[in-house]
Amino acid sequence: MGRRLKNWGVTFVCIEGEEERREEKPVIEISPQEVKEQLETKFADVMENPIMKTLLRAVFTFKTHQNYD
Amino acid sequence: MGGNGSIEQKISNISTIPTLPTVLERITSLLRNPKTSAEEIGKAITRDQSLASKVLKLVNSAFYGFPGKISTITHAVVILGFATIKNIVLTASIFETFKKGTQKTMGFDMERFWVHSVACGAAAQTLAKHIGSKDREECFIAGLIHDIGKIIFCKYLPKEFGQIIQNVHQKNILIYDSERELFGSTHQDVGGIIVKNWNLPVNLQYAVCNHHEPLKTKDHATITSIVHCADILVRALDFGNGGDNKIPSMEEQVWQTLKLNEKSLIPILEEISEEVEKATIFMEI
Repeated sequence: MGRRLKNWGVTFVCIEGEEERREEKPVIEISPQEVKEQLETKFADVMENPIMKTLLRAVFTFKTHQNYD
Repeated sequence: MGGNGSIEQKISNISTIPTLPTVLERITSLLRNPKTSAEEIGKAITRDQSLASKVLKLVNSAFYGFPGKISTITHAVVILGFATIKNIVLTASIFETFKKGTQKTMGFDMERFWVHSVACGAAAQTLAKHIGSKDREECFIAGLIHDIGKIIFCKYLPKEFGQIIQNVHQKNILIYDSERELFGSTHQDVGGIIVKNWNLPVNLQYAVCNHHEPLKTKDHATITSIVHCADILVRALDFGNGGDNKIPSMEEQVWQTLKLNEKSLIPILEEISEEVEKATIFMEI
């Protein structure tokens, strides 16, 4: 199509259209305290494992930063 | 209660256990022949129109990096290569076989189960990339099917599965622990029977069979560790739900095998999050 237009001498084309609008999912605001409580409930049985403690900290940091980005 | 092995016996006796589409076997056999052309593979896939449309939808998604650019299956084979196409066909076949018509069990949300499975696939692929593994696509599939035993339980042993789920809710425990407590056998064992019946590669069989006990096997330990870890990360990040609200403990050896530490974890979680977003295409096929 581009080549055909060029052959016709058309060197610039402006295409107008509407942007497809995606339905935005409602953002659920959750406080760091709530994130912490949810994670602590989920991790309750594995907190003796230092790796799981590290994981909890990392996920908490990730989730709370994600909330405020 | 049911005694060890009884669940496996019941599963083995079910004659209607789903098989994967025959096209997959045909493609596997074609791929063994080095003279097979992309066109031949394309033709084999196109024979199953429903599967072909799923494959085209997947290859044109952001997940595979060619959004909207591939118009024929043959084109897809040329661009992505035989091995990747085989994995895409396997993935599409699994969805074709399982995503429709699975019986509902009270307290088990199938939609969220599939989100968990797809997310686990995406996380496994990300972890494989992190350690420089070449088997990233197989890790995706291993993550995707790691809980396939739960679907079999749900579909073919609904009464027993209902008891398992009820026990999970009453005691707030892992499905895995509930299965062991009530029946001795778990979704790992059931999943193992299925993937063996399907003749899937041995590394996938090991990963499915041992994802809750990755240290139990020395063979294919890396892919098994990857799936074990992916399951834990996806649970921690709340992507979907595999049927319980707990989290298994991660073995230190797994942590070391996957070269994880607190510093490397955050970027991995970010990447997993992005990959899961791209992988939502699997929920649409």
